[in-house]
Amino acid sequence: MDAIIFFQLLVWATVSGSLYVLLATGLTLIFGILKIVNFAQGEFMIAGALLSLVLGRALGLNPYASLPLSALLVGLMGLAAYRLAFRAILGTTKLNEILVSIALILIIQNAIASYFVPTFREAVQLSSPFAGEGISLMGGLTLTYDLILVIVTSWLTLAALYTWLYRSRTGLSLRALSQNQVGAMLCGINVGALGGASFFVGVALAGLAGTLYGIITPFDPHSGTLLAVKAFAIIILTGLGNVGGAAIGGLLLALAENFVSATLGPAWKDAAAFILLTIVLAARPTGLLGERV
Amino acid sequence: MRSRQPLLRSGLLLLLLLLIPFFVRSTYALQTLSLALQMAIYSFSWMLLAYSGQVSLGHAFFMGVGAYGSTLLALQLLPPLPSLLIGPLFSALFGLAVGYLGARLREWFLGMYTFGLSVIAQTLALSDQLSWLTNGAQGLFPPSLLPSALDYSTSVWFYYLLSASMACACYALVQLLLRSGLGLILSSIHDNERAASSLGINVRKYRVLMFGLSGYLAGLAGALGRFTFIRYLDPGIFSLENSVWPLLFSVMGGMRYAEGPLLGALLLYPVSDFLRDAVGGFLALVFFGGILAAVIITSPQGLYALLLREISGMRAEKGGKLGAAGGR
Repeated sequence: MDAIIFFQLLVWATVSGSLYVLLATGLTLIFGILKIVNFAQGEFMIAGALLSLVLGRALGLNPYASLPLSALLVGLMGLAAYRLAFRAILGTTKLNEILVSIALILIIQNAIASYFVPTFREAVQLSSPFAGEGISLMGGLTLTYDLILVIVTSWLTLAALYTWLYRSRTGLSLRALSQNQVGAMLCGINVGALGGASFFVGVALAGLAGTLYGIITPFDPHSGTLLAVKAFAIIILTGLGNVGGAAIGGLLLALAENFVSATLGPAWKDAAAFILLTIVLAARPTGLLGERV
Repeated sequence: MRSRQPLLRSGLLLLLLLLIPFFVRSTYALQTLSLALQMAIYSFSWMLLAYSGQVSLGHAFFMGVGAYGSTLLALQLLPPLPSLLIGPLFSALFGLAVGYLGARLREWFLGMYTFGLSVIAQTLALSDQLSWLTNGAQGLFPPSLLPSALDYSTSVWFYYLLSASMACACYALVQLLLRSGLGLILSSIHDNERAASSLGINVRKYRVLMFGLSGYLAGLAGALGRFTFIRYLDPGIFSLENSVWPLLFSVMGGMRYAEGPLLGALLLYPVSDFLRDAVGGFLALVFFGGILAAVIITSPQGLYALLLREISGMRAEKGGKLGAAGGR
């Protein structure tokens, strides 16, 4: 394979990998605390992209400026969903929790679509101030500032998250809670409040990923679903609750699918994750890193 | 409380359904009712799987595979009616394969896995590599079950007859299954898999089996729809919306009862049809999402359970004693 194409693939794999990692980390965080898988993660992500778009049009903010605001708003949406829907059925049956998250997908995706489709008609991209600009490399390649910024923002956010989880008192309580709920309660940890906090942060990560996604590629109300499926595939592959595993898995998956896309065609790019998952399930039903799923 | 005559119940239902065309002259109403009955078949398929404790969030996968299988058979090899019945065998086979591969997955993970299946099936059906089979986004045109010379209202009457008899056959099948030893086994797997296997039940075997059966019925519903009213088949059949309807109807109707999916589909499909016309498809789904969440939070056992409770409450009042025969 051509060295230039190889380099391009590597860059794109890093970009999409970073977004997968954000999504999967959010899922893992929520699962660790509440034992819920937030199926609507992809929908919250698109909500983030849409909010940045609307903020950009209304206030003239560029997407990097509206990024924190839209992530915060999406996080609040998540918190509302948790308070209104999830908390009422938490701990009844798994099936109820699954069905509530399906209801959430229906509500968010279609509420977005009912605004988006008549207004924009087709997929839109957020207008970045650096559109088209970048560092010129050998062989006529350009590494756009947007790609660099997206990668840097994702990993800075993740670094901040890890610092919060491993250096703060709240992070300590969160980790304790994900290990043993009863034990954590006995130590005086406020389980209810932390459940809300983990949902807020996990969903806000998705909102952040949404804005970043919208900066580098056009999106529509349905583009979140496939990305969320891939994030699920990653956490099945690497084991749930394993935040470091999500990072490695996200990058590996992005690499694999970008190479499949270059060799077999773009449609198979989306199937790659899934075929990989099926093979792993058939061969190693407990996930690559050996945790029970 | 529970009658012991599943065949009688479904026979009565069929009789009732067959009487309707004598009173309802509107072709549109009959068409809506037929589509609701097809949805009932599809919901039965989802509910049978859920009865064994397995949640499918990508049921459109099986529906689509069955519809594509039947259509391709009808276009290449067989007359339409045999293809309608043989085509869903493909989705049954896929069901067995998915059940086998997913047999170690539980709850969330099985949900994700099936959800992913339908998403991937849609992208693959659109891809260039498979367009020789699926004709990509242009789609296929399933043949008619009837000679094309027939006028529309006669065809609708025939389609209604076919949908009603198939739905009643499924209703009988589900009732018999739920009352049989197999139904007990499935119920035990649903309640506690570990306890079930400690009693010597081969959990994996039954879970795979249910995936096969559920796959067949979903494929049948898909093929029936495409051979009657929606004579057009494109990868849109794998959409999330299509996966969600049987779940909505079964859950709202009551997924632990054979009557639940039937009740849910017959009551709610016309509502969804009306809402789609009145406020558009997107807002209709927002509405149904809200209703689903509300049903799960307030009465997760569904409408049929509420109905049973009402009836037993009334009986108890009449007899002057407390509801002894209360349907759970």
